[in-house]
Amino acid sequence: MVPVPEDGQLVAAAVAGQTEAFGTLVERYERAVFHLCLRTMRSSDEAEDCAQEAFFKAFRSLHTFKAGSKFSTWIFSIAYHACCDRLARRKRFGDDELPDKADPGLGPAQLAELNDEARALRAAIDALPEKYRAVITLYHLQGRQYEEIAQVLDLPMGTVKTHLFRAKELLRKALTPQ
Amino acid sequence: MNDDFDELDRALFALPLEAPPPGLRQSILRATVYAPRVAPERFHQWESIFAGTAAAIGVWLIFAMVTIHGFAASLNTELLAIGHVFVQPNFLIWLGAGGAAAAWLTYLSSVNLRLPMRSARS
Repeated sequence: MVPVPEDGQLVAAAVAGQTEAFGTLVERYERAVFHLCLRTMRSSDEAEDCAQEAFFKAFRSLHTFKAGSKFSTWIFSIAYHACCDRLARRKRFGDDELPDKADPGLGPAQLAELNDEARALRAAIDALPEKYRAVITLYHLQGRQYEEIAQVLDLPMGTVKTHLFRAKELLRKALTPQ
Repeated sequence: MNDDFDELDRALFALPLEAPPPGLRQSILRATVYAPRVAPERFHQWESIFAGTAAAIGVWLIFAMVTIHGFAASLNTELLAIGHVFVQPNFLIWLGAGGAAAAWLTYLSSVNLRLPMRSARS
């Protein structure tokens, strides 16, 4: 059986000039990065742009990747900050939400119409304020690795746990049929 | 803080990731792995400018020597005069004095820079 190279080995190979190794990393994380961007931006086109930008930036700064750290945390962090930059630009031009402003979101009646559980959950996540949306998406992607979520979002771990708790509360409220 | 694994966690972890648009991977790879590599610069910009200027002066000198009557002779005289200046004792004394002053000032500035932060604050 051919051993599957770890992310760190692929990064080292790409830095050494075997750029195809980066292609494997793209293959591994494309979906997760796109998902993070989509949940943050709530627009498929913009998520695509952000995901592309994130991989491009990562490729350009592969030499700065610290050996021993997790590639997933690094690429998610780059992608999240690319999304934040875009949201900040949107905010500057006044054509979209402020990051911390709660969205009106879908009402319970509308959510009930979404029969599919996954669709309902996605809709409920999309209705969360941006800061909770990011935490819940990373929790979904990275599991209970709070420290890594905190690194991606540049937040203290306590804040991450608080945001996660509040995000779950809001989700429960939105998903509970009334 | 209730952090137990519950129905919501189960639903969250079971949530399938959204499929990226079909062309995304290709466009990422085109912009990164398969992007045409820019050949590294062989020379610094200043080196190119210097070489270009030197070549231009050389061409002008050859052109002037060929076309201007007596240019070569006058150039020779001028160069000899300039060379003569460089071997004058006065010129060498002033050059030495200037160099020594520059070296001394450089030394003094580096000594000041090396002062510890504490004495700089006091």
